[in-house]
Amino acid sequence: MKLNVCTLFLLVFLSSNQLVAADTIDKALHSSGKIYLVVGTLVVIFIGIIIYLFTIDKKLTNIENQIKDNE
Amino acid sequence: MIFYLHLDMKSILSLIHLEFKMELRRKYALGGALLYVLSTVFVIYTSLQNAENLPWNALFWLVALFIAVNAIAKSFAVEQDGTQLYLYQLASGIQVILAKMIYNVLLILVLLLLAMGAFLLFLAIPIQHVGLFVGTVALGSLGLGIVLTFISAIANKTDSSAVFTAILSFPVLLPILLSLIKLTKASFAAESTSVSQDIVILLAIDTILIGLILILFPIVWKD
Amino acid sequence: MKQNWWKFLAVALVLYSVVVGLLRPLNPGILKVNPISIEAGKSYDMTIATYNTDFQSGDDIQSYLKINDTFGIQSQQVEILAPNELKVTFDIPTKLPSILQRDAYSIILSADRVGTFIRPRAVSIVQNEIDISGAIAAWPQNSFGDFKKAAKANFPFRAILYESLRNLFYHVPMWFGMTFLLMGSLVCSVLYLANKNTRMDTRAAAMIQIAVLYGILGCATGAIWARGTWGTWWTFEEIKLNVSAATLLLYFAYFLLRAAIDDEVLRAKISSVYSIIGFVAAVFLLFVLPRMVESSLHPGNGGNPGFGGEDLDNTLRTVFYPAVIGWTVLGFWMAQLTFRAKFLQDYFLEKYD
Repeated sequence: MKLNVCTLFLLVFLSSNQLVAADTIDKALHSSGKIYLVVGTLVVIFIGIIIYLFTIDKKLTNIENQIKDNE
Repeated sequence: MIFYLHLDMKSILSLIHLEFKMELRRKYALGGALLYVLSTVFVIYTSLQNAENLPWNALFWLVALFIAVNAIAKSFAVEQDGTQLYLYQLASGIQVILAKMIYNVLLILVLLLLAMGAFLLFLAIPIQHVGLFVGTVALGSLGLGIVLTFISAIANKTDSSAVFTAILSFPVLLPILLSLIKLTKASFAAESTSVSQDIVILLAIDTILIGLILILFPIVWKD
Repeated sequence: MKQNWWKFLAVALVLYSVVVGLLRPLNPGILKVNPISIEAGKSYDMTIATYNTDFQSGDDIQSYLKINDTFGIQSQQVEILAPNELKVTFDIPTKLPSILQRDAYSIILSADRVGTFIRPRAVSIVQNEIDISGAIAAWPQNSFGDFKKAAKANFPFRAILYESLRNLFYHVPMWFGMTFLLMGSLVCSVLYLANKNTRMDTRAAAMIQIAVLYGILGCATGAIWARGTWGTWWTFEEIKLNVSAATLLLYFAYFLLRAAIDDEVLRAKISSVYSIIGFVAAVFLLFVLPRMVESSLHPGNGGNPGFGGEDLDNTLRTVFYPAVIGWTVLGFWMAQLTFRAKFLQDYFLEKYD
């Protein structure tokens, strides 16, 4: 069973390698396209906005607790 | 014996805990220390980077910066002396800040000239344009003096004015410092380079800041 | 609903800048030329790898080796190896109309549908003897044919940047937004000092808070962009990075100052005063110092071509300006939420006290 899994991985590995070899130019284009920098940038901005949401959430929770404590 | 040791350890631990709690009670204390370290390292690093292959140039202005911060930080500490308090009550805010600024600028000028003498004596640096260098030192003491005088007035409203004088003033002083380092570089270059642009920038910063300070100081002054 | 129009505007503009900024393709360009170093007087088969092209057999493709604006050679033949790869054959004459023994020359491609594009200094050519008058006599003048136009103008293709050019719509608006928020906070601080309403000070602080958030995001997104194009996360040799870090330190100090003063009125007064002085310093840091240095990697600073010159062409403008407005207005919305929450907190504090 173990051997089978290994063989499977090896096969996948080999075939993916072959795919890569067949498609070298496309791969080179993809990595030189640097679109991942844009994705990274957008992710960072999204995280920033989420952090902001958490701070405002905390503030509102404080206000709610304040009201609850006093009623 | 063991019992006593145990008690001892416990009380020490609780004392440490208390210290820690007291430090944390001032919510800005930790941030203050962190920002102090950060902005000090930043100012030093940026100055050295901008001085390129003349590290003593950056060192001179960093020494100047710390001399000035130390000399001025206590400028607005409350004096116990009655006559001084009485004088302050008679004078307007503008008079007070002008007097303090002029005094501090002159004080820093003297200190910087001394520091300059010590630097030249120990480092044997060949000055190419003496006039420009002395002028730079004068411009430097003007900028450092006015900014630090005002910032120390602000920092004096907190209960750790020395730390706040530093962290509030370093970013404001950075443009001045970088221009000064550039001017100093020019005064040690063999060939003459155009420095008018940097002098204009320094004078522009100083003029704008003096104008603003004269408007803003009375607000800080009257309680 | 009616007074909320500007929030919808912000969302629409940000969405537009994200969607169009991501979907609109780049213009075609030349990625790689092989060989890159050749000799005069020989014939060469060159492979040219292109970006965003879809060459099909039957396309009319011309390629030129450009020596200068007057002189160039057209390739003997163009063979399509793949939709994004060509093989072209150049016969290089023995004498070049150039006074340099070795120089790099550009390659121009002009194709149906795809349009015309150039790779500056793509090939370096060595010539053994320099005979410029002989070369000029032998070469045909104005050898460039009519360049074909693309069906649609897209974002420019820039070497090194490639697709990351789109970060212009996400990284730069952070700094613009920060600047506008700081201006807003300056106005609020001045208004506070004029009529002593502590709510104005709360507004100023909230705007600075979002401005600092934008500044941190600008640094982080800039670090990612720098890693992929300049090869480093952060460099202290770049003036813009130094001045933006200094500006952030200044406003960290502002918040620390607020935390250190307990009395509300005194806090408002002192922090307003410091933020006015700090704004002057920030203007010098962000806008004056970067223009003073000899060299900078950022466009528009230290000898680099100005921002708004060839770095911002019209196709980029149509997305960049909406992005700047969108992120700025979004920032003001975030600041507004922050100070409204603070107002509520203050209201209940007063009520239950």
